[in-house]
Amino acid sequence: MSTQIMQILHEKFAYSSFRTGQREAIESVLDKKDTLVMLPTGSGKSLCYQLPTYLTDGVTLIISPLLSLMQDQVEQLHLRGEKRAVALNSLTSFSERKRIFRQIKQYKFIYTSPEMLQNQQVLEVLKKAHIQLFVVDEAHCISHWGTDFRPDYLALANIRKSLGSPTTMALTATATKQVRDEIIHFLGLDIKETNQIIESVDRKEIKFFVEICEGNKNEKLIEIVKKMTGAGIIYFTSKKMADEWANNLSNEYGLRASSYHSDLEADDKIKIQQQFLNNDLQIICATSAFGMGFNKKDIRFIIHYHLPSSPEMYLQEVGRASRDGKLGLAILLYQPGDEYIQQRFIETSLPSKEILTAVYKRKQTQLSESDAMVKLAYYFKETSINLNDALQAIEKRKKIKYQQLSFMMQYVYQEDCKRSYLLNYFCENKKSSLNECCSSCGLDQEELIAKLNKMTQSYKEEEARKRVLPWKEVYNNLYNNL
Amino acid sequence: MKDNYLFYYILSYFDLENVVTLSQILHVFHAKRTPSMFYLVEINDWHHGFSLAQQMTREYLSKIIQKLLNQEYLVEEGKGYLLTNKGQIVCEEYFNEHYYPKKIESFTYTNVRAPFWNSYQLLTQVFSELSYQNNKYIPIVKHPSHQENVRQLFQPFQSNKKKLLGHWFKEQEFLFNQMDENSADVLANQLTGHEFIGKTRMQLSQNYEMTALEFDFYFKDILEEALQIIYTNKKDFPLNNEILKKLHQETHYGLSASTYETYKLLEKGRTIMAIANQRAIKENTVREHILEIAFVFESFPYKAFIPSNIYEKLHQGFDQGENFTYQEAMNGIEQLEFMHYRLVELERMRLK
Repeated sequence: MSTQIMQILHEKFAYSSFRTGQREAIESVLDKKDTLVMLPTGSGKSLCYQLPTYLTDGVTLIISPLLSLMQDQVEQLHLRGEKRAVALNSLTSFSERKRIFRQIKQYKFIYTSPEMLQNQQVLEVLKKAHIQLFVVDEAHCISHWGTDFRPDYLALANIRKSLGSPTTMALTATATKQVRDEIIHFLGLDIKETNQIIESVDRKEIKFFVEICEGNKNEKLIEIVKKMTGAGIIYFTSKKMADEWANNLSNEYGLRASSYHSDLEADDKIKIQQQFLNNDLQIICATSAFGMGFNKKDIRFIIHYHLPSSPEMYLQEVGRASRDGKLGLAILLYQPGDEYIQQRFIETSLPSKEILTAVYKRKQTQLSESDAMVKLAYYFKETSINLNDALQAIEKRKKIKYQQLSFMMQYVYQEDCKRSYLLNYFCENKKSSLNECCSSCGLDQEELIAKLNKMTQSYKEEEARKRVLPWKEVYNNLYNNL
Repeated sequence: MKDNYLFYYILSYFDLENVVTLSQILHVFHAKRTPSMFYLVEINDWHHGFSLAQQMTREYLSKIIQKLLNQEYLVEEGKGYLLTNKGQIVCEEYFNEHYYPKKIESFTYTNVRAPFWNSYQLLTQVFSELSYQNNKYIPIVKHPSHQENVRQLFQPFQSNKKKLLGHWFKEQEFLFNQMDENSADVLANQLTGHEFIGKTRMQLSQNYEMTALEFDFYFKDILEEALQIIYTNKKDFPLNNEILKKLHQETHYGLSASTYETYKLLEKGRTIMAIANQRAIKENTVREHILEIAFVFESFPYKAFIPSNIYEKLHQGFDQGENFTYQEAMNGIEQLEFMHYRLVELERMRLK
């Protein structure tokens, strides 16, 4: 089996060795053990379920929370020559769905959403497909303690059962023990029988800094960005600020910057990603919409202009740097009062007592609140939770979010090792002393930036990149042998 | 560049003499499909705003209007607002310096503009990669329906993709040559192909020193122009028209899904009553559908739904004064329905 695993690794994935945790995860599911896999962001979680699929008969069903993530995964498989992969979701047309259903047994990888699995017809078709591996990607979505709780994930335990309780793999990147326990519990797995492959959330190559600003945050940001020659992402909590800063950095400072957020059209999002990958862009000014499923290996810095909502989100976002294993820089800029932004989000992201009551008492016409809040209210009602329990669940969720925010506030003012403090949240300790660690450990930012800059690639001449080409030139570039 | 385009764009909806309400503007932005909204859009040439901002809230629009009032660009009048002379001047000055949408004059392409652009980009990429014999690339458009449309276009040409490629070259070059040079540049610079990544709208807006929303309107006008060229030159654009036809079908030819169902039954010669019974909807709803169809399809034979005597009397009424109201019409014409009145009003508007 070991030889076969290495052979597939080489033939199908063009790798000669595994990254930490991958082999154990693969062997665990090949032994038909339910497995919880926690590997840091960018460390190849997809391989953990894709490789064993080639060594078994039957289909691997992958549940994913985001349509775009599903599309990306299927495209990556297709690009590698694996055509037996398909995404089944709300974007799939009726005729396409019929075609997929007809050919269901021919697939090896079926990506779908939790919502899709609640469709009885879909479930009946999948029963015929012989699902031999049930994969729950971004499994932390099942947990109330998690940062991205999605009520639809709670239905997965029953769905899994109706598919014959196939071997299950739950994947997550940053999850505390509480979240991991909830994942196992809510998927209906036996905690004693479930293998847990848990790798440290620590990314030693990423160095942590916090800058406490006193009305000079903008100046600080410009000062840092102007020094950097490598690729980087600056995270904001507002789309407007992401746009404004991208314009500012581009027009005032001649930097190759663009903004990225959910208001962009789908084609423009892909263009930004491709430009960034191609080194046509140096800096992305983004909201949290940017990054999931995106893999650029040589991002050298991540700056957070606003306080992130939780250590999970923070580590996930800084984890986009240094995928090549080389040095990276994570800077959090904090201005006293920044926490009020996150507090406002907490208050407005969860349905209030008034909304819940209106939904439960069928007085929906009175509602003018955001769709997300109303949807969550409907979820509670449709799962037959009574109003009081729903209110309690909301309060519990709010409390968790405030605790997570409070942790980030303490991180900002933490005078001891920043890295240790973050790791402790995940019940980990810093394994060894690092020569270069964080601002609290005396790491010099200037020296680090100088080191980072030595590693960077060249960018296209800014003027050439910005120029609008005459259509004839575009036309000639697009097509070969006109 | 400070982006206050939306502020002045909303100001442009107001008039010195005719009251406009917040709700009317919001309904235009939300693409509310009622006969009175279609009429309002048609008479004011507000097509460019139809479905512009489906997510805009009443509160947000209210804040903008309050700012306009504070600046004395508007004044309150009854349930709505009137433009002031000061407002008119600043609006004109602003749009002397900034682009104002001018090419969208009908509802024909409202539903199809965005999906056509997505299909066009994907096709360009596919053909570009084909010309370099490369089949390993990330599609610029991920929506499965567009990918499916491209697959279907290729199906008859499986054994001769080169021929299809040749057709595409010709069509694209012809389209660019038919367009104004600036418009062709804007369109072309957004296209992606083999080792060539298109610019985003935001990036191009900076090139053209426009605000984001301003450029959005500029680009929509360019797309409208492109669609009209493609549609009116069917023999020169067989591939593009095939895609357009498919997309029109998928987007109900600019109608709402329910109106389209009514339209199909009207085409089969069903009466209003028969359609209402078959579809379990009110007859008045069917009449509203007929109005929507008349607004969206300029060649729709709406006269068939107006008794000839009523038709003549309505025209007589309007001939005496263009402010001939529905109330006045009802007083003088027996068995008049609102649908008759609105259809004749629309006819007269179009003939002007």
